[in-house]
Amino acid sequence: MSEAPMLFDAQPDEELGALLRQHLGGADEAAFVARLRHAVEQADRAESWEVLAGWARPGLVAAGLAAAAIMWVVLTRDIGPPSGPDVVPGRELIAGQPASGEILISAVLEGR
Amino acid sequence: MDDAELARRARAGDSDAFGQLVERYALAARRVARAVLRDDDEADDAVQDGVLAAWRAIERYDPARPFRPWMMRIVVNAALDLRRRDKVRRTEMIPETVESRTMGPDRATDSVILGAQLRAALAELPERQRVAVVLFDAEGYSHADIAALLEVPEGTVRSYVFHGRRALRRVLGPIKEELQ
Repeated sequence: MSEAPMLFDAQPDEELGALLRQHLGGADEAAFVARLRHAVEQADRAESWEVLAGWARPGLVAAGLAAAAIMWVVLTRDIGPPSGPDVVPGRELIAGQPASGEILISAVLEGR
Repeated sequence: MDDAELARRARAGDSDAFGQLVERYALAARRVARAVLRDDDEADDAVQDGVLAAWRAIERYDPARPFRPWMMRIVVNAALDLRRRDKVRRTEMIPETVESRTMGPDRATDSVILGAQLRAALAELPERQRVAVVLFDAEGYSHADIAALLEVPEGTVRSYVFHGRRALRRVLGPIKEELQ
């Protein structure tokens, strides 16, 4: 520390600076730096989750709406009356088929 | 890699680049925070708050300007905020070591006494004077950088440094003579 300081010194006081650095510093410097880096990494990760959560909320709503729409389509198709050319009443099927001769003969013989 | 490149990467979202910048300036930030706050744990918390605030605000950092004063400004503000909140909560206490100046000729003890006196003397200074002296004499900041950081004219910083040093020398001079 210079004993006769000039008014408004323009240069740092090396001795005072060294004293300040020595007494304001800590012994656990590496651990402190590691703590700060860890905090930044954690904050970064937390931020990523916040972004994902931000996307997830409207995404969940959209997925819910889509699921509801699919369910509605499936349910209404099962409940409604069957239609289309491939659905034919059973009676018509039976009536439309010509009677087989073998079946008639066996029925007559068994009936005896 | 220089600060500008690391800061550019950090601004693009690279947390590792930001971590490297933190590594470079964490200890200087810690010393300044300790000059503002008497409690070392609180000072460490203030630095962490400041570093995280800087990371959250990294998009607002102007890459055309140096990174070091930008981050230090955020840390100093975090420490000053914490001190303001703390002032309401409790009164400051002078460490016991200041009272025990007759502990013996041991160099380690002398160092503890000198350190305690230095911190007690610092605590007597107005907080901006304290920050200015530590940044100027211990951390090598220019008057202009400190003026920008504290948002005061450069002449005011010169005055802070002058008066702060004078007060510290007044306290430390006799102690040093006594210890020698």
